[in-house]
Amino acid sequence: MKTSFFDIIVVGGGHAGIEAALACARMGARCALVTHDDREIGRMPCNPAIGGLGKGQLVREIDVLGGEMGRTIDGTGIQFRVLNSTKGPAVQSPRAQADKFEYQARMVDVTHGQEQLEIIQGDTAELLVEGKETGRPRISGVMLDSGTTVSGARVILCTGTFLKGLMHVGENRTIGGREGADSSETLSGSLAGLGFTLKRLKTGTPPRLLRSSIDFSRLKSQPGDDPPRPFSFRTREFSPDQVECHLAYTNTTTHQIISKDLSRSPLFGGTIDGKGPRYCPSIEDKVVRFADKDQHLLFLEPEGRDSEEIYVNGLSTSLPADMQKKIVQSVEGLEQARILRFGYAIEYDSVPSSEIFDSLESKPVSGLYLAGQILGTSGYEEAAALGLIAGVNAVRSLDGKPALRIRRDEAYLGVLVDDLATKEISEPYRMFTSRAEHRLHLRCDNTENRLLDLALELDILPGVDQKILIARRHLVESITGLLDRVRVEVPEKLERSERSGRVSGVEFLRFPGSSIYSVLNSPGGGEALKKISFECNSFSTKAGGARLLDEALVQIENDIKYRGYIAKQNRLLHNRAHLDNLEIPTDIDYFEIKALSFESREKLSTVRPQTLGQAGRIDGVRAGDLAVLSVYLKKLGGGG
Amino acid sequence: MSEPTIVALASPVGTGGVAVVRVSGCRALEVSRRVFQGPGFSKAQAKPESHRAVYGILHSPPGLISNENKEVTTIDQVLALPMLAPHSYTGEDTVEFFCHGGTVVAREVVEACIEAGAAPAGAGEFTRRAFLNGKLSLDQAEAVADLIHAESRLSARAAVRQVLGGLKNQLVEIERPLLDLLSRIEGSLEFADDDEIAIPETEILKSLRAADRKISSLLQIGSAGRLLRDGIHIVLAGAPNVGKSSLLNALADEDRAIVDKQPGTTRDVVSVRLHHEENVFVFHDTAGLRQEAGPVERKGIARTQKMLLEADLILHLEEAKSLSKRQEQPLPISLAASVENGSGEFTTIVIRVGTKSDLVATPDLDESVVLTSSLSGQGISDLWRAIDEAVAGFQLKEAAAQGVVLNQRHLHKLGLCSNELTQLSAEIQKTSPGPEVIGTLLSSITAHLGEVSGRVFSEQLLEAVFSRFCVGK
Ligand SMILES: Nc1nc2c(ncn2[C@@H]2O[C@H](COP(=O)(O)OP(=O)(O)O)[C@@H](O)[C@H]2O)c(=O)[nH]1
Ligand SMILES: [Mg+2]
Repeated sequence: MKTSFFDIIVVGGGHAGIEAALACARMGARCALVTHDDREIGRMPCNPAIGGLGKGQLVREIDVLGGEMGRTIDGTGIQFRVLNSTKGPAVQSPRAQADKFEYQARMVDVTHGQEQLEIIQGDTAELLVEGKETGRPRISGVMLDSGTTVSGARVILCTGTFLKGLMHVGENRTIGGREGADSSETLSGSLAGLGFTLKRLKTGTPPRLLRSSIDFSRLKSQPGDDPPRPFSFRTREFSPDQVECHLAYTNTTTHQIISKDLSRSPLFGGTIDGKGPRYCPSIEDKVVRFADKDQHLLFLEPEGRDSEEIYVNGLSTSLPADMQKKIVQSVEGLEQARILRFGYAIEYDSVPSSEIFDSLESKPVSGLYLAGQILGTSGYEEAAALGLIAGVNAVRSLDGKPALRIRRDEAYLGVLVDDLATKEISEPYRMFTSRAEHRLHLRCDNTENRLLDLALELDILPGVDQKILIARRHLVESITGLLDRVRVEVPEKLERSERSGRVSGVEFLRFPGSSIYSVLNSPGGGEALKKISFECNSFSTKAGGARLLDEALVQIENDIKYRGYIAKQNRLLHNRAHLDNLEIPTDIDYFEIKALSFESREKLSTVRPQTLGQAGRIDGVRAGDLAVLSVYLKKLGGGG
Repeated sequence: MSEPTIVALASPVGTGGVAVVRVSGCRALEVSRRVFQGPGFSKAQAKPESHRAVYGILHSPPGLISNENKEVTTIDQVLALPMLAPHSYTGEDTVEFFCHGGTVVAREVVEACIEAGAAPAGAGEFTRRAFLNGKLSLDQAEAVADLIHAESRLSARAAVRQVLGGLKNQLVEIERPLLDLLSRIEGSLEFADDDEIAIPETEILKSLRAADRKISSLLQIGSAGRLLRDGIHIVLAGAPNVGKSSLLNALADEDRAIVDKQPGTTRDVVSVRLHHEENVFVFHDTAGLRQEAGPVERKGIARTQKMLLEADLILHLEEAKSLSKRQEQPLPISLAASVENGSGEFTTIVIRVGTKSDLVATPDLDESVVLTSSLSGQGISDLWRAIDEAVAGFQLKEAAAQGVVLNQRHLHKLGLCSNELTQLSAEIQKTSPGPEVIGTLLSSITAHLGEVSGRVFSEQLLEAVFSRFCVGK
């Protein structure tokens, strides 16, 4: 039996595992990434795309904290679009189609090439712990199914959908973590043996079609943005050769096929126990739940630049193969389509988030961290975000530093972790802008500024990138100040009856449709305008190009346009903000508080919120319960 | 953790012949046994029968074992009412002693209980315990606080209604459509490529305005709460020496205002609270209204003007004898300015009173003038009738019956929501902020609404509720 020792062991080479392992290694820890196949690192088993509403914000945040996802999609994307581009900048999000083969190949290279990171091929069979007899066990490593022991002071589990994975296509069931891969059967048992409660969740994937069998002439094409925008502030060269996606629609015939034989769906037939995602529901779900709609939108997305496989976004299903064929061929343009791989639903074990602290360390076992779908999230982006946070926190705990505590008003990362720690996840958790009450501030365009201090503290970015971000912040601050002082003339087309003559640059930017460039081109600015131009030029020289300058200017514009609304919201929420500072002792006995409903007592006991604000976000804990809790806490504090 | 057993005087200080002392906590029976001798309270018995009052002797507690010879002195003969957990106000074992000696004796009873091991209760502590033991919800506690502070019967009735949820129902009706709108706005942001579900601005505006209107009308009915709670403010206006102070004394039936023949004596506003029928009235005697006056008096007149602006009802006094001479008697300019809204309409009801009716034989006046004599007491009941008639228009009974009497906190929050909704509508019309802005602001506004309806927790509510309780409640 061989033994090797690491600071940190990451189990799983998916999107969470990659960010966890890279963060650990880049922060100087000796790290092992244990995966069943070292050529499969960074695979995209579902949608060949990165980003999307709320998710694009996560990718941007990960990027500023040294993550890999943004850079990789910039290098391997084949179509880039900003979603919600007709709505305000706070709810716009970047999304890109990936060449999933290239994406994976690049992730394999990056991880293999990372210093301090060793890739170990093998299936993890068991978690090894110490001190089980004397109290809370402490992690000491993992055992592979080959019998090899890998020792480590911290372990991060990023096993995705592999825990007791079970795939369904109609009545056919196959054991596996995804198509063509085995599941982890024993690891679930190991977790259960350590006192974890496991919960079944479900997710699904649509059929893949043969490109040449689709009649694209009858489908509407959807090109990428021109010019495209990259995710990563570190991407310097960016001129991707973009491909088109296509739009198709289901129709009443499609819906009839589905409703007639609904009982053949494992979901409705009762074979699947796990709960599925509400936000990317299966087509059978959609037909049942939105019975009044006579069509649903489908996106045909190529899985790679030269791939013959087309992913049918919107048609996730677990119906039997013969029905899938009928459904696909009922759609205009797909009459002759051939299915290369059938859609399937997959059920897997997950760990309820009540079993983790907000550091992502598990409650039952100390030193064991969890990230990604095992915690009940859906999506590569949520997984990557959690992987990064788990990696950072594992390193910090080795260094004796406190865990990161990113607030909800600082980043989507904070929203994600807080939601996971407080919400009962009964269906896979997907990020949305509506989950972030501070979304007017948590924008893509100001990500660099929002997370700069944290990035500097973690010291996880290369020095040159840190310098660029510092210069960027300086630029934003000085130009915002100059815009307050500069007085420019309002051009006629923007002029409103009540305003004429000169206004400040800030006021100017509040006119709908105005931009910072129109300020720069307005007459009358004098010295201040010259100074702005100077600052801009010197920054783009430092940043090595105009793109980062453009982005910084967009941030300044949006800061100003949203400033009033954010101030108003903060005023309105003022009386709520301090609830997050009212701490709740961790040893409080909720069962002693008779006025709490029994359900609330149980929920509060399992979640053990750290503040009154967090307690209020727990599902099922109501205003009245908070009032009781607040009075009780005051009594504990002796406040009467 | 078990809380200490507490004791306090539970009936208002200095009123009535019977005082109630309340002991509550897990040692309430033990404490009671040490100070009370009566059926059910001997050491041999485990527990007295709950909710059954017994007669007995209340005395100072015997000394501790080391000092067993300490003399036991009788304090009073009392009724003891044991209420066993959880069937008491606090949810704990409680014993209430009804002493007939009034406050002084009650204080001795409280001291005896403290000597026997109870701790003096803090303000609102009984209610806080009731709340923590789930005997009372927060809005019920708030209504209880209102009830304690309710002076008039109508106001009390309204507070009771509130406990039963009158206000809540109305708020839910305002809240629900707004929350629906909010979830639709958010939904439209979550499906980027589906333009069908974008919500037209006109529809958003319609919903916002409808909610704003409902809140405004609620505020209108609900502001009757101020009249119920704080009383109806009536200002006595008229020239110096017309008999204002005398009339107030006649109404109050006691000598509170200064009556003097020298015009302009009453420089400061003198206020008198009077209970009449189901309402509380606050009468304000003022300095006279006249143009030529000294500096001190001018100050009083300025104050009078302010009082007139804030008055709920104005009594305009004129001497009956001068009234009978000239039929048409316009309001003095200064008074008219206070009650007219510019277009000649009165915004505050004015009752015209003819004073010193004993000095004229048969006055020939129009019917709207109420004739009174403070000297003979003639016409005073007519004046009360006129006041009651005017007050009927305030719809206090209706507001009380609907249970939508608003307290200061409600008025403030609802005012804020209405204000914010108006501003948001204006902003949408002016600059068309995106749905992401509308959704964000609307969600913050509904949070405030939720604080009134109880859907959203608010620290201020807690403060507001528990700070209003006094010791013994
Ligand atoms: N005969 C008679 N004299 C009155 C009556 N009311 C007031 N007076 C007298 O009128 C004078 C002024 O009264 P007062 O109440 O001080 O008037 P104010 O200046 O309006 O407050 C006093 O001498 C009172 O005695 C009344 O009803 N009948
Ligand atoms: Mg007077």
